[in-house]
Amino acid sequence: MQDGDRQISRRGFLARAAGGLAAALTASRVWAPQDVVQAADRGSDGPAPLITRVARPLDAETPVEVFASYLTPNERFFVRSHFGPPAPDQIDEGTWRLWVGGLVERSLTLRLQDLAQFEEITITAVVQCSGNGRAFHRPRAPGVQWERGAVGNARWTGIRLADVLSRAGLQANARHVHLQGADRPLVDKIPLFVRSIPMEKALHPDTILAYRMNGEPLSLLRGAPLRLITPGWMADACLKWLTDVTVGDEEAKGYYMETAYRYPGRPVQPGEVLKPGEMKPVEAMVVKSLIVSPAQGAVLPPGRMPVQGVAWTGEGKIARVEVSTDDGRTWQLARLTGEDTPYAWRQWEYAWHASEAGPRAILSRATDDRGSVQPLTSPWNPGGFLWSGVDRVRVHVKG
Amino acid sequence: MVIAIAISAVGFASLWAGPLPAQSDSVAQEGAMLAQTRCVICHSADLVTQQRLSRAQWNATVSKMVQWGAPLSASEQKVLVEYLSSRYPPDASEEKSE
Repeated sequence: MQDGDRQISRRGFLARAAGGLAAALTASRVWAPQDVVQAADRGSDGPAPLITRVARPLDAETPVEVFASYLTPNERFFVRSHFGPPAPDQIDEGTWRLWVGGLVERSLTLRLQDLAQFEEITITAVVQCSGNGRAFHRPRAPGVQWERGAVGNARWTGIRLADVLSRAGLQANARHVHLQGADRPLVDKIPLFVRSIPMEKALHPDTILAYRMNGEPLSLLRGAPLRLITPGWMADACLKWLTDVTVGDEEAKGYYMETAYRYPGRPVQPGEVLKPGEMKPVEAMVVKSLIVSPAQGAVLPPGRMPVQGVAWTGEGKIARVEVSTDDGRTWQLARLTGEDTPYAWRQWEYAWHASEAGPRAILSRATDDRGSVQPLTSPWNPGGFLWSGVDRVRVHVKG
Repeated sequence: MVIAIAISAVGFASLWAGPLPAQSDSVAQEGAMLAQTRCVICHSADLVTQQRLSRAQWNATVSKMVQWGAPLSASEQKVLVEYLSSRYPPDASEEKSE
């Protein structure tokens, strides 16, 4: 299925590294994405740009106060991958190629400069890790314990995947598009990160192969030189370091498609054994809001206090955001502000009069134009995906 | 280089420090040693220490890692699951162990 001779040779790391710790130290050098590691470790002169959840391979989320900016700055956008980025020489302009094959009329091999042959478009879209908020599920689900910041909103510039597929020409039985990047696991037995999206999403005019983020070329940690952006869908589809696009007649095989990134299509009890057929792929985002200000744990003076945040949903639009300051007994409408763009998040604001001294909780919940409302708590699922429970910030109002 | 390794080794070890629940000393020590040396081949220790999982979840997780090449014998795998289930159960303190 994949173009075997284009695979980067793996390091056979484990076989050479029975010593464990020595191997780990070597691996940490291989994986150290210096720009963010060093930045994340800074902090004496202000809040860390990112909150590191896993040091190696780097998984780091954005502090929520950064979301006061409509566009999330590139260097503060969350970082997530299974294996860490590929070696820079694998994706430099002279080496990198995008191969398009499988059930097409003609295979393509495109260099970076060849992408200029296609129409360029820019889309503002939320990109969110499927596991964002996993730490709030009870009981806990295994995986990176993301809290609120594995999400961001950026302007993505690139070309339509549909235009590239049209150039290759689809065969009659083309149903799914399989995607693979240049990143590789350290150990041969670990499955490659191969994902697929159904043809309907692949051909959607807003699904793009992006090479710029907020006007700048993609950085190594965020998928340089090319990544998929599937607006409205969770980021497990937004493959980074993209090198192989293979058209198939069914979903991709392998762990990261058949087992991971799936959730039950019905409510389940923790510990319940599910058949594979009961699990479906994580695709569209669900409606969600975040309180950006005031910050968690803030000590506030009494009086008028603006409560601000962002809200987003999958392939619909935000219809309203409500705020509660009495633990969800009553809800008041917030005012939607700023840009109103499909796939992007919507900023909102509520004027709270903090009259009662003491500890208080501020809650926010969003509703989209399809009538989906943020629940108090998300349905539990074994992988801890799609957390969308109402956001809650605890503050202390001074007397 | 020797100094760097020594410092890093202390750093890794400190991630696993802290009071251990009731568990035989030998299982606790061997389990901690296995976690410190085998898990961190592919990922840093923080990915493990942030988990709060049931025995069944730990067993499934470690089994997957062995399938993916983690160098653990059958008996070592059992000890590691015992250690992790006892050290990082669902009701363990939410405070980081570092």
